[in-house]
Amino acid sequence: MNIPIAAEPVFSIGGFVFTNALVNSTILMIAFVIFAGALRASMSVIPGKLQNAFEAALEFLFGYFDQVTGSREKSKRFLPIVGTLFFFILLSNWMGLLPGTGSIGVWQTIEGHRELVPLFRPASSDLNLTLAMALISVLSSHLIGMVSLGFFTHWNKFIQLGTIWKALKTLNPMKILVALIEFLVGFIELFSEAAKVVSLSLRLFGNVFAGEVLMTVISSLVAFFVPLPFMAMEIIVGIVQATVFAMLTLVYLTIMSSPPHGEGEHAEHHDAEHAPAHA
Amino acid sequence: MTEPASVGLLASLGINATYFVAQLINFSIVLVVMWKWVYTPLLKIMDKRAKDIADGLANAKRAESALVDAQAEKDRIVSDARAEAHALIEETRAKAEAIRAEKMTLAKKEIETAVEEAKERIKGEKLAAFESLKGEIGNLVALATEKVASGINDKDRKTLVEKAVSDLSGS
Repeated sequence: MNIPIAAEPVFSIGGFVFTNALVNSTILMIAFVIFAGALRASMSVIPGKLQNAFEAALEFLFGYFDQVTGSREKSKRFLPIVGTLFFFILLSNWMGLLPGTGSIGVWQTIEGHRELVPLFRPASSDLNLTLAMALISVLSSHLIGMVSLGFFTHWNKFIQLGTIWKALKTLNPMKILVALIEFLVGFIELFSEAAKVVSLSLRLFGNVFAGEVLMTVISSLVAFFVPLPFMAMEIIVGIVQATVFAMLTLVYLTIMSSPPHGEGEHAEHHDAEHAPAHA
Repeated sequence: MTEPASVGLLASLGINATYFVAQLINFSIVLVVMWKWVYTPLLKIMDKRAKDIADGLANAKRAESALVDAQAEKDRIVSDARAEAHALIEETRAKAEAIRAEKMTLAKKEIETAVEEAKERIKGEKLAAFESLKGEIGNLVALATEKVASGINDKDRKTLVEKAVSDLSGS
């Protein structure tokens, strides 16, 4: 029994070699396209069963989204990215529990041994996919930040040249020192952005891959009944991991679209100072 | 020539530029399709539905208020109409009573006139009958007296007849 960390190539079409995880993600992508097409074709103000079920799922998600974003408008704005991540990860995790995953395969000679290479492998157990999704998650948060706050305000959170310039103008050594520290902290923040990508991708990959290993080991030890509780656990893990990934993305999007700490406080202070004058 | 350690680490984790791009494309397709075909139109529909429901509720509230107003207006109109009808009935009843009394007086007068006329007529007829009867009785008395006085002289007979006629005229 050999479960490699990397997805294994299973067949090639026109010179492009498909890995088993890529097979799963492609099937899932086609399923999503069919689902979206069917939903779009039957969409109406009076919903059908499919639309009703999907709307119910969205309303359920909005309940959680609103707690993070604090506003329904923001929840709606972030829904396409966060919702797609949630549903895609959830279904790709659950697809790994379908019969045939890990058991149907092609015989290949690997390092001189004949081995059955599974045709299907949970898409999220391929680091390429989790990394791609994590990159989209973090990059979209920066894009949203730039659109919401403006290019310079957003990047000043990380490269705080503006803060240094303001401090230099005051000629106050203490303020200059604080600005320099904030400048360095900004650089650390930049590294933490890279860490977000790494942590998001490795967390999902690790959980799903571990689940796959667990299921393979348990199923090879006892084929019937015993794997059932583990499958139930994997269903829950699938939901939890999809939720964690989606909610973290939502948090990143919310943070990036919010004004920087000092600016908001300054604006509030400014408003409070001018309130009596307007009254 | 050996590959750099970082490349070796990434490769051992299965990171591969081609597969990374392939997975990126797969997810991007899902993202774009869901965004354009599902989320955007569905959110529009949900917003429209929420707006329709809110409008419907507001309209229902307005209709309820209008219904209460209409009910009050109806009650007022019915009450006015009832009062008006009552007044009309009373007025009609009074008029009818007056007409009835007038008709009664008229009828009474007519009856009294007819009765008077009848009485007069009866009286005339009675007098005529009485006169006729008196004539007849006179003749009868004269005849009877003549029959009775056939045995007496002319002078007594004449006196007797005259007396009988005189008595008859006096009665």
